[in-house]
Amino acid sequence: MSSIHNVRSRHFKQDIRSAIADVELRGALARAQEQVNSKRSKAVDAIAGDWESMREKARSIKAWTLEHLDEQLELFESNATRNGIKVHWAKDPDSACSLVKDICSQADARSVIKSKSMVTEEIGLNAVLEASGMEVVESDLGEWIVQIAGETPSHIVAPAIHRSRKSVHALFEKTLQRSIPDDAESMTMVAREVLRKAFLRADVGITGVNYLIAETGSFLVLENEGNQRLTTSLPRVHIAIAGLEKVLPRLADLDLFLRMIGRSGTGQVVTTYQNLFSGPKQDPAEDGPEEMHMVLVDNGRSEMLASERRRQTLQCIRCGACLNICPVYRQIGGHAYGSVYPGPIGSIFTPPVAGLHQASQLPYASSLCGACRDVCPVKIDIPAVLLDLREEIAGDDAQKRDAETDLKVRRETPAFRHWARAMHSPTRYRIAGFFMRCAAGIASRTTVLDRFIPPLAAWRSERSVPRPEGDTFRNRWKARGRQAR
Amino acid sequence: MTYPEISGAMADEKVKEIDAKGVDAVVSCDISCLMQLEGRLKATRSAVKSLHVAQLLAEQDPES
Repeated sequence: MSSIHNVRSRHFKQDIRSAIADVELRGALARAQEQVNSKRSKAVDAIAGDWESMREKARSIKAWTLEHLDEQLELFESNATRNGIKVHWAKDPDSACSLVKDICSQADARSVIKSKSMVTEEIGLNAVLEASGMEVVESDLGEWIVQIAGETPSHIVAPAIHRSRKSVHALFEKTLQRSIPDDAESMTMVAREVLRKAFLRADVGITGVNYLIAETGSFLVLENEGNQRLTTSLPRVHIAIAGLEKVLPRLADLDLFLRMIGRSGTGQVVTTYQNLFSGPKQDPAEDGPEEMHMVLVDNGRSEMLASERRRQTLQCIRCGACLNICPVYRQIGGHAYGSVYPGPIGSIFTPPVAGLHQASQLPYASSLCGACRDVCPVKIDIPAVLLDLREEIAGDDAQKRDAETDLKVRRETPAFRHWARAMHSPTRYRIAGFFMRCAAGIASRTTVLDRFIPPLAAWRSERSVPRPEGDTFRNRWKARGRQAR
Repeated sequence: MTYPEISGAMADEKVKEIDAKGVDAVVSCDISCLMQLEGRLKATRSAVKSLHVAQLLAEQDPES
C-alpha cells in the first residue's frame, strides 16, 4: 500500500478471514483493548471537571474552526511566515510528496529521520523519498518495528499493536544479525543504539502535527519517546506535515485539548512530551534547525468540508479511542481494513478521500453499535456518517461501489423496498407480519426454504430462527387493553 | 450479514462471557442481536435462555 489511494478493499473478505483465523492476533488485540480502555476510564474519571462538558466544548471549538477554516488557515500562514516558517500548500499526495522531496534535495539531504506521522502514510511519502535515493528512518519505536518488518501501521497511535514481544524479538535478531536478550528493556536499548546513529547522520527531520495554532503561527506535536525532540533539533531542516483540519484558533485552546487527547488515546493524563514549535533558530549559536517548513495537505478534505453531514469527520484529533473501543477492530485488527486509517474513523475518512468505489466495503464493516461515538472526545457521530456513506454507496450510481458491494446492494435493495412499504402502513404491516410468522414457522422447523432463498442459509449459519408461539403481541396488547377497561 | 465472520467472532466472545457469568437468561430489546446470540448459545449447548424484553415483561404481567 503506497498511499491512502491504494485501498485493498478487493481483498477485504479474504483479509477478514485470515485475521479472524489468527488466534494470536485476536488475543493480543483483546488484551491491548482491555488494558488501554481501563486506563482510559480511570484517567477520565479522575479528571477535575466534567468530561461530558469538556467533550462538548472540544466539539464546538473544532466545529467552529471548520466553519471558519479558510480564515483560520490564512491566519496561521501569515503568523507562521512571520515566525520564519515556510508554509506550503499541497492539493494531493503527489504534490505534497514532491514538495517535500524538493525541500530535501535543496538541502542536499541523503538521510531523513522521521517521527510518527499518519499523514505521511496517507500521502505515501517514504516510498517517494526512497525512490529518489534518500535513506528514510522511522524513529518512533513502533513505527521503526513496522518499517523494518516491511509492514504498515495497524493502529493510528500504536503502529505495532499487532505484534507480540516475541515476534519483535525475532525480527530484531533477523534484521540486525546478532543475538539480543528478549526482554523489553534490552530490545529497546538495541533500538535506541541503532536510532541514535540515524539521528546523527540525518540531514532532514520530518514530523506530523497535532495542532496548528492560528493566532501564534506555531504548532504542537505530541510524543512519548523523546525521538521527536531529536528529530526536530539535530537535523538542519525540519519539515512538518499536517492535514488542513489540524488548526485551532487560540493557544489557550490547547489547555482543553491537551487534557483530552492523552486520556482518550492512551489513558495518559498527558503525553510525556509536548513540543511547541514557533520557527527556526534565529541565531547561529542557538540549537535547532536552520530551516522550518510546514506542508499543509488537502487531499479531499475541502470536499469533505463541503458536505454538511460528513464535515464532522474533520473534527478528528487522531487519538485512536474509537479503534480501542471498536468490537470489529478487536476481531480483525488494523491491517484487514486495507486502508492507511483503520477502524471506525478510517471507515468514514477513507472512502470520501480514496473514492467510494475503492472503499465501498469499509462503511459496512461496522455493527453500528455506537461505542465509537460515545468515546470520541470531539463527539463525531461516526455511525451517522457511516449511514450517510452507505446511503450514497447503495444509491442509483453503481460507479460508487465495487463489484462485491454492487452484488450485495442489488440483492438487498428489493427486500428493503418491501420492508419500507410494509412499515409505512398499519394494514400492510399486519399482512407482512402474518406472512413473516408463517415463513418463520416453516424456517424454524425445516431448512427447505433455504434452497430458494440463499441469503436465508447464510443468515442461519450465524443465527437461530425463532419459532412463533402463542398469540401475537398486537392481539395480546389489545386483549390487555380490554381487560383494563 | 455482510461479514458473518466478524459478527460470528463478536458473538462467540459475547456468548463465552454470558456463559461464564452463570446467569439464567440474556435479555435484549433488539430482536436481531437476540436471534444471533440465541443461535450461538444453542450451538454451544448453553443452558442460558434468550428473551426479548417484551417476553420478560409478559411473564411478570399479572393481567396476561
